Amino acid sequence: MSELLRVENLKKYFKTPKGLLHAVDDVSFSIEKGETLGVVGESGCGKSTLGRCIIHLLEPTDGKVFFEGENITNISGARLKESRKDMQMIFQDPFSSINPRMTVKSIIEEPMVIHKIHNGDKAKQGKAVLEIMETVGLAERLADSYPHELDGGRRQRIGIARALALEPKFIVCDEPVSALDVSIQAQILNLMQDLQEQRGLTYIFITHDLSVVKHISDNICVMYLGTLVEKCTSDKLFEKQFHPYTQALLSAIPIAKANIKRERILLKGEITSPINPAPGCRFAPRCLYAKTECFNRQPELKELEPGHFVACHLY
Amino acid sequence: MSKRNEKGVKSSFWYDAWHRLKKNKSAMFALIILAAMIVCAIFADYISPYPYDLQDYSHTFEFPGEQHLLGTDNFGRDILSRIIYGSRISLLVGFSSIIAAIIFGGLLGAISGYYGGKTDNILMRAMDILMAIPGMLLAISLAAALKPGLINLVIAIAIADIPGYARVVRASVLTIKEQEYIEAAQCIGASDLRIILKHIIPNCLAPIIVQATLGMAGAILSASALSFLGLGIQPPTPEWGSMLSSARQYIRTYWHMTTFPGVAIMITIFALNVLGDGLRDALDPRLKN
Repeated sequence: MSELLRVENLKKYFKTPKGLLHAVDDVSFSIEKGETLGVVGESGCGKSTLGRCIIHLLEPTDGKVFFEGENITNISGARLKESRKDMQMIFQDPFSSINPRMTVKSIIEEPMVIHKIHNGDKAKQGKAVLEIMETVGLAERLADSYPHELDGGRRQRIGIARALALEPKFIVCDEPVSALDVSIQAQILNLMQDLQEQRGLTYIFITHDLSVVKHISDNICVMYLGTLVEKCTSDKLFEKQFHPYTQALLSAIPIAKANIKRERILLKGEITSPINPAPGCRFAPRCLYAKTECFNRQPELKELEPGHFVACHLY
Repeated sequence: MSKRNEKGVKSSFWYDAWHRLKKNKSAMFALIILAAMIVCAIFADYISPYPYDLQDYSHTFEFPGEQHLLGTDNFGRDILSRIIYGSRISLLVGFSSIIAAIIFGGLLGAISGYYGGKTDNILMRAMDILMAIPGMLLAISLAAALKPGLINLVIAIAIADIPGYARVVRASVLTIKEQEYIEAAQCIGASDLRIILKHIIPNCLAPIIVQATLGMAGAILSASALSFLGLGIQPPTPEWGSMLSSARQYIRTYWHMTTFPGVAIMITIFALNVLGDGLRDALDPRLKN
């Protein structure tokens, strides 16, 4: 296994009339080739912003992104276009992420046209489109349909096909199943796992759905208000959590047994504002165990057990 | 493969739109009227029974009859022939000023909406300045400054219309820009130009087309109004507005002199509006049936 992507101290601040909004604050991690990194956290914790910074849809304020050892943080122009072939994205909303005026075929074809993959050889290109459609489970007869004629699951398959058209090595999946029915979610997740096996893809899987992330990820990052609070392998995290936020988060997963008694950790208060955040741990105002130290100094990620990193002053 | 492809017919966005338009009877009727008008305008020399400037002083103010289907005016000129020749000017001015206004206004609006920030501010404030002057007044002052004539008439009307298109396009670009498929297009490496032309413009075509058909009707009216005021087409060239203007003084006694040019303007504008409605439906694949 070798490292494919490394993110170092990535920060993204947005200027708002009220002050600086810290969407992503000092996040670092790395992903091995072929693995899936789940990024979980509640709405507004900066997980989508993180994905968009990596994929160059947003310019990070600070920090570095390395892809296959190369610093790609500030690339632009032709080099950026070239890197699009390696990194792609699957979007959340299958209804707004595909152009309603284009047919299925032309949507999947577009990346090939832009990158001149088949040098204008229409027949070859058409064949490639049909191949990809077959791979993602879209029937050939849908090639000339418009997106509005298809259901959410099929539309999301179009989104996946578009991302695959350039044969990337790395895909950022921004809540790809959260807008779908549960039965379709499973189909799409299985498709994505199959694709990963066949093509050796590497995923960043952004979601707020813990059962999904458990199913698909090798490693998990838990984010709270732009900061990384816990990082660990998927199996371990669901067994043992250190950070009070992760504990609360995991205690919220419903269990499909009626007579099991368990303690739910209920968080009090609202998520604090990410605009001009106070110094100290972001989670401190809602934390059950907060000490004075927590309000003064921001905790750093510490390796508590091999491969299990936690940012908390309790340990 | 879909049905269309089995027939071996090329299917594309525009082909489908045409297919849908064909099903809309009123829009097709309007299209036929407009096509007939365009044919009349082009072949005016062969169709019109008399030359437009032939003065026959023994037959002035004649009511519609066998010799002159729509009667004659105060100089004894055949009104039908003048209306046929007049359609040349009206349609030409209508089409070309709207096309010019759409191209410039649409592009300015798209750039302004897509890039936002300073670019947006500068462009839109310039549009606001143009908008602050009443359209008709702006056209009158431009027409007066540029000397009367066909091309200047087109320029005057187009400039007065540009801010309207810029605003309509900018507003729809602002909504479309937030859609995820624009991000998706950036993600697959599409250039800004490609995104504007392939993803943004087709999706804001519907409001532009509605605005354009209404605007074309407006432009024909503006051209008529300017000619009516003597700032547009100069006599003896026939133009619907100037025909109305010169017939105005005889309206109580010789109704046919004002009625027929007026009806010509009305039919054209009506056809344009109906066609615009039909196009709006046809260009929206979500309404496909």
